[in-house]
Amino acid sequence: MKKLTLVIATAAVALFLAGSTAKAVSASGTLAVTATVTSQIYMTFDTDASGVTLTGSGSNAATLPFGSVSAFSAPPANVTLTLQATTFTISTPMDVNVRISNPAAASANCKLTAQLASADATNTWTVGGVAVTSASAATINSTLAYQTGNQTTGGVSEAVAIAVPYTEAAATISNTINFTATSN
Amino acid sequence: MRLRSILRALCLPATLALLVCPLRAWGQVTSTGYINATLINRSGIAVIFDSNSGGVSLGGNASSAASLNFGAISAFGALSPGVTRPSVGANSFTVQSLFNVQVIEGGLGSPNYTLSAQLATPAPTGFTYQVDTISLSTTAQTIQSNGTYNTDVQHTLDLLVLSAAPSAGGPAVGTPLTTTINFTATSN
Repeated sequence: MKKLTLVIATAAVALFLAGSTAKAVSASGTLAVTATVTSQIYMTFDTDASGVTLTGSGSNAATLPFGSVSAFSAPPANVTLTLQATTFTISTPMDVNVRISNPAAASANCKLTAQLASADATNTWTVGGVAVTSASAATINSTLAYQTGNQTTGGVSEAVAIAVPYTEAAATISNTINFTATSN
Repeated sequence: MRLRSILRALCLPATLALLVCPLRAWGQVTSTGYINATLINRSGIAVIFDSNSGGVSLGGNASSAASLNFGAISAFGALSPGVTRPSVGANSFTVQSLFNVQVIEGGLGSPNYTLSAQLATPAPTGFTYQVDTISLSTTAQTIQSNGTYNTDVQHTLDLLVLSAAPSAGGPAVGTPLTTTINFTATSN
């Protein structure tokens, strides 16, 4: 009888100890996470599959190098040359890639305008067939479709062209076209 | 006889002590006391958040109540230091920051811990929070089941943001949106 009591007591102690060591202990902490979403409309210029390779393609500050052109010799690759009565025109397509994120109000598309940074009294500049001057911003596309995602290719193809008079002396022609996309 | 000799033996030192004590008292005064200090060494664990060198600097760094501010976020353009944008999709984008969790353990003898996380309140419209790619809700989700004690353990906080306008299911724009994530570490 004494033996049985001892066994029961030992088992009880063992169970108690086992229970106490297996008991899980927990602790907690809090991390407050803050973010401020901002509206963004983002434009990049991308090399068109049929166009001159842009320097800085995929950025919003690209360079379009037409190269050396002449009315009487073959144009560089992906440059189209057309001859008119008093001028010759060089043209190449490039892609305008406009994306939008978290607009304050839903926007289906945007308006694209372009303007020359410096006046050019000799040559005629066009984008998408629309004359572009330094006087004011010209509307190139009033319902330009947005692109989606983080893509750096695609976009809407717009032809950039320069009409050069035959009388113009050989020289480097350079100007900057400022584009603006405004959500509709 | 025996008792007398014992008393004699005790009396002599006592007499000497009585003679010496007044002499010492002239030179210096001594007072003694004691404090019975008691320490209860309780075993347990604690959770603290530490900034990660590759992530946003935490407010309340090294505490159990920290804050992580992504700052201004958008699908395109610059982000705050420590914030990355791992993906931009057709309808959403993700911003990300690293942070560390350290679970301090003492006296448990536990080999490791389980870390769970849950949102204190439902996520703002257009937001989804993920810790180590596990989407959070107001129900606790296990983030890690064998965390190592007493060292920084790196975790990734992803914030998935719908890029639609607020009227089309996207998040509020231009307003700081704050959500608290409750982390719990449980000893294994």
